[in-house]
Amino acid sequence: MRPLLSATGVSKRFGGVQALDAVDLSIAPGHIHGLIGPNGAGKTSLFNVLTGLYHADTGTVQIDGRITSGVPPHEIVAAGLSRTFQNIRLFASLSVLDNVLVGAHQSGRSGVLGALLGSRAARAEQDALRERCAALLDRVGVGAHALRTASELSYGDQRRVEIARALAATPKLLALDEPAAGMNPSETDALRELLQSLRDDGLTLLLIEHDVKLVMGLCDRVTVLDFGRCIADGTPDTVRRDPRVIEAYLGSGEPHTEPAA
Amino acid sequence: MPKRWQLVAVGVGLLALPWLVDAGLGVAWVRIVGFAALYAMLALGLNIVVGYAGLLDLGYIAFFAVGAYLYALTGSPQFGLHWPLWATLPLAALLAGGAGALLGAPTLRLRGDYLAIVTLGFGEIIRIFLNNLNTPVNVTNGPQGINQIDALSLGGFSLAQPFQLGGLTVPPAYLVCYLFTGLALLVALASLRLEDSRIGRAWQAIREDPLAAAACGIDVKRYKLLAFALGASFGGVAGALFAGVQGFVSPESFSLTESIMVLCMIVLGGMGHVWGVALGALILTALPEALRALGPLQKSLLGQVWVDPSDLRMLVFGLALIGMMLLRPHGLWPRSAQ
Repeated sequence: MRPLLSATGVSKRFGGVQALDAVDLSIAPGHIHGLIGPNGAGKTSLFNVLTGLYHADTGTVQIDGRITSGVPPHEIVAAGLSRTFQNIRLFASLSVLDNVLVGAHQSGRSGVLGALLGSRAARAEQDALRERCAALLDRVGVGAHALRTASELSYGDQRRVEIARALAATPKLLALDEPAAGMNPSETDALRELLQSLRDDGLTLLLIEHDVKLVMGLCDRVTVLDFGRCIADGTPDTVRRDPRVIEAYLGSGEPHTEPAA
Repeated sequence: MPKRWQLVAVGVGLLALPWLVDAGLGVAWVRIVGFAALYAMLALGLNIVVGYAGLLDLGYIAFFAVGAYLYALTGSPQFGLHWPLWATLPLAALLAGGAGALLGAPTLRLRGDYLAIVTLGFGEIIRIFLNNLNTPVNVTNGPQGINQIDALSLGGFSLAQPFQLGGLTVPPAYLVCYLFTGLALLVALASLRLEDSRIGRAWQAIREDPLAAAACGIDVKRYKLLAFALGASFGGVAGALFAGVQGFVSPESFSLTESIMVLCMIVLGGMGHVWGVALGALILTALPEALRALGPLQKSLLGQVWVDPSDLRMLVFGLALIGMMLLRPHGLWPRSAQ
C-alpha cells in the first residue's frame, strides 16, 4: 500500500548542529505511528519539517502523493496533515468554539464580500461549520466548554481543544507533538482512548511521545531517532528489543522507563 | 440579527441626535459629534489592522491623507475637477486600499516594534511626499495645501446649504452629522460582521499566535495583506469625507501625532471592540472641545486665564492614558468574554 506520508533523506542543520541526518520516515494509512528518541534526538525538528515550519536542507516529503517539502504550512494543511504543538498553542483570548472554527478555516470559502453583506451563503456556511466544530468538541469531550475562553480551561482540556482544532481541518494524517506531556495517569488513559477511537474511524496518526509506555501500547509502528539519525523502525515489539534502541536509552537497559531528562 | 424595533429605535435616535445636542450644548457640538463619527470611522479602520490582526501600524493617517487628497484634487479648482461623491468615495476606498497593500507587502515578515517603525516611516513618507509635490509639477500645492474644496453633496443637495423639508429648516451642521453618524454606524456594522466571520477569525488567530494560525491552514501573509488593505480603505473613505467637510487640506493635518491620536482612540476605548473604539473616538474628539470651556471659566473665577486650555489638553490627555493603563488596561469598554 502506498504510504500516506513518506519522507526520504531529510537533513536539517542548525549552525554546527546536525539536527536531522538523512532521515527516512514512512507512515502507512490507518496506522498510529510513533516517533520516539531521547531528548535532542531530532523528533521535534523532523516534526517541524513535515509540517512546514522548517524547510529541510535536503530530502523530500510527500503527503498522499503530493510533494510538500518547501511549501508553506497552510498548503501542508491543505495536503491533509494537521498538527498539535508540544507547548499548547491555542488562541488564548478566543472562545473554545472559535479556536476550533479557526481550525476549519480551509473548509470555508466565504470572502470579504460575503462577510460584509452578510450573504445567505456565508451565513449558511458559518452555521454548518459551527455545528461541525461543536460536534468535534463533543467528540473530544469538551463540548460543555464551547463558549468559554480557551485560556480558562484546564491543561488536559486545552490539549483536547487543540486536538479538536486540528481535526477541524479534516486531515488525513493527524500529527501530535507530545500530547501526553504534563498529563496525569488518568488523563493519559483518556487520551489513549481518544487516539484509539480516532484510528478506528480511519484516521492516521503520527505521535511523538516521551511516555514510552503509551507509545508501545498504542502504536502500530515505531520509528526511533537518536542524534538526528533513524536508528530503528518497526513494530513496537521489534523496536523494544533492538540493541541500538536500548543503547540510546542509556543506563536503563529497558526502553520502558523515562529516559533521563 | 437585530430586531425591527431596535432598528427603528436606532434610526429615530440618529434623527433626533443633532436636535438634542443642539438644544443641550449648542450647534458647535453638533459639528463635534459629526467629527467624532468621522474619527470613529477612521479608528474602526485602524482597529481592523491593530485590534483584529494585531499589526501595530503607526502610519495609518497616511491612508486618511490619501483619501483626503483624492477628494481635494478631484473636487476643487486645483485641476478644475468636480467629481461627485458617489465616484470619489469608492475611488478613495480603492486607492487607499491599494496604498495599504503597498505598505503591507514589504512588511509581512516584520513583527511588533519593527513593524511599528516601518509603518511610522511610511506615514511620514506620504506626508513629506504631499508636502513636496508642488515642483516640478504642482499637484498638491505643497505646504499651502488645497482650499476651496467642494462641499459634500448628495445627489444635487449640498450639505453646506440648509435643507428645507416642509416648513422645517435643517441646518448644514445637522446634515453633516446625519451623514457621518450614519456612515460610522455602517462601518461599525461592517466591522462586526467581519469580526464574526471566517476572515475575522483568521485575523484574530494571527494576532494571538501567527505560527499556530499557519498550522491551522491560514495563509498568514495573505490575511495580513487583506487587513492592511481593508483597514486602509476605511481610512481612505474617512479622509475623503474629512476633505469635503473641511474644505481645506494640507500636509500638516496628517502628521505622526494624528496617527498616534487614532491609535489612542482604539487603546483608550478597547482594542478589538467595535463599540469601545467608537467610544474612544467620541471621548478623544470631545475632550479638547470640552476643555476649551476652562478658559472662560478661569477668567470668571480667577480674573485671568492662568493655564492655557490647549496646554491643559495634553496634560489631561496624558493623565487619562496613564490612569487608564493602571485601572483599565484593556480599555474603557473592552470586549467581554462570551
